[in-house]
Amino acid sequence: MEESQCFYCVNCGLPVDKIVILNAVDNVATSLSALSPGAAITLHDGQSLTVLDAVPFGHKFALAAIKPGGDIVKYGEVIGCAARSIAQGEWVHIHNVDSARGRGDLVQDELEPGTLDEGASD
Amino acid sequence: MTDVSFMGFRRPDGRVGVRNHVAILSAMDNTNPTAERIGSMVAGTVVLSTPFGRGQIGHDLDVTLRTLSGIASHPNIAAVLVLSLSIKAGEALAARIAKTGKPVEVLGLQDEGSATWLTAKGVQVAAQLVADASELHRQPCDLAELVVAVECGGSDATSGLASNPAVGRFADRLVDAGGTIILSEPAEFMGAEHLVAARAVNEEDARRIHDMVQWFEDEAKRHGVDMRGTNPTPDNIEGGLTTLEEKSLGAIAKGGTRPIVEVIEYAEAPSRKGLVVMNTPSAACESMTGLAAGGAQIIIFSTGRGNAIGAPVAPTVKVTGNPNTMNGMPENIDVDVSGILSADLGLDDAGEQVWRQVAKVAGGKLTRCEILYEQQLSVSRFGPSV
Repeated sequence: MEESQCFYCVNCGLPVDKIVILNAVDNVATSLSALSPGAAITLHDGQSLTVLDAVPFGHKFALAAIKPGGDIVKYGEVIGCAARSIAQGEWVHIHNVDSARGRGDLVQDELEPGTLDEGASD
Repeated sequence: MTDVSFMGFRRPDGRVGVRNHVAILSAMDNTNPTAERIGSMVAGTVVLSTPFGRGQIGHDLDVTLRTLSGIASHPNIAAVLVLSLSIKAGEALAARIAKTGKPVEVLGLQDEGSATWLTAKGVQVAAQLVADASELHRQPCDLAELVVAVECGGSDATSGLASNPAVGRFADRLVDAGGTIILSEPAEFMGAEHLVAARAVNEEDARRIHDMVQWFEDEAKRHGVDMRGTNPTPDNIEGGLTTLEEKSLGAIAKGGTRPIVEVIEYAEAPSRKGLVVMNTPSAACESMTGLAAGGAQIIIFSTGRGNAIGAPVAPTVKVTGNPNTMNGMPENIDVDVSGILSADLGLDDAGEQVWRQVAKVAGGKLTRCEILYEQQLSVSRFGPSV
């Protein structure tokens, strides 16, 4: 993963200044500016897509349509799954992505109450 | 001076310090106000105190003793004044610290007669310790003698894109030079633990890395909660991090790419050089306290959204790759690598900036956390007091 952490379009190696695609298999891109709905993104391979939502700095949008339950891939790794159908160009965040990890809410009565205090970490 | 040497303080136990403080260590909560008074009256001192320290049993007692003695034994500390309710109650802690060969004095409130008399006596003793410590001078040391811990907090999307990979470049360089890097916060390996564990040089350590992550999974199950909202935190989420898996994949980059030679528990000191993993919680103050107690002379703290806090005793170097954070809180940031995101700064050059800053800090340059008193000692706790 480490060496693929470039800040270039993985398709042609040219610098990008608006978005980052970290790995060729990723289906999300990270925005490096605040994108508005309707913004046209041209990738270096000539493909283009239209951003459908406001995408804040550092947030993600879909490079391709993702089916419900489909993997969300960034860094070439699975970072969660689609909670519903996600369209190409759609903002990808907690409203349409579920995490598969740390989901004690999905498990019932397996273990005794523990002792770790709840509280935001950093 | 070459780029692998710095001027440090050589201690009797063989370790080297990058600072030369005298510690006023409060062995228990009830002497904290006196420790603060003495610290405010004697230049060159740092106060080490915790809200707990009495009535602890089992794991908490072990962790607290190991952490407080570890921090007081730290090579950045020249000498220690231990304060306790009674001399007898402070002796166990003092004995652990004295093993380093540094001067240790113990004073008890009941032995002195009152908090006021303890303050007066403590000022006299601390003043002498500082006078003696000030005669020590820096000598040439090798950067390979450094243990540098890497931490992140207030993470956002830029952490995984810029500041953590830049810190990772530093980590690889220090390991290659013969030094030690401590990577911590295994809850933030979650979703990336297969990548971390695969770098462990032995199977036992790989298993322990998986077990540490599983422990946090089990805690979420015990509480029946979704960890999202606690980790990633609300500010992580606002900064574009959607899941803990995503945060983790960015977080592990700060440890670089070298093999993991050892896995240690909270506040333990590494016994090997190279990349080491310490089991700490993700809450930054607790984690950094454990890292400092493990002997890290310097901590590198990568931040996205911005987080000002540093470790006790160990100078904490703040690195950000977020241009908005750099603009908003420049007084809290030591290294600006935001140029990575505008393609003005390459990752190797960013790693070089971190390297140069750490070398300067090792030689005495103050970090923003030190200058602004952004330091917090916070020992992990697991159970109730009795």
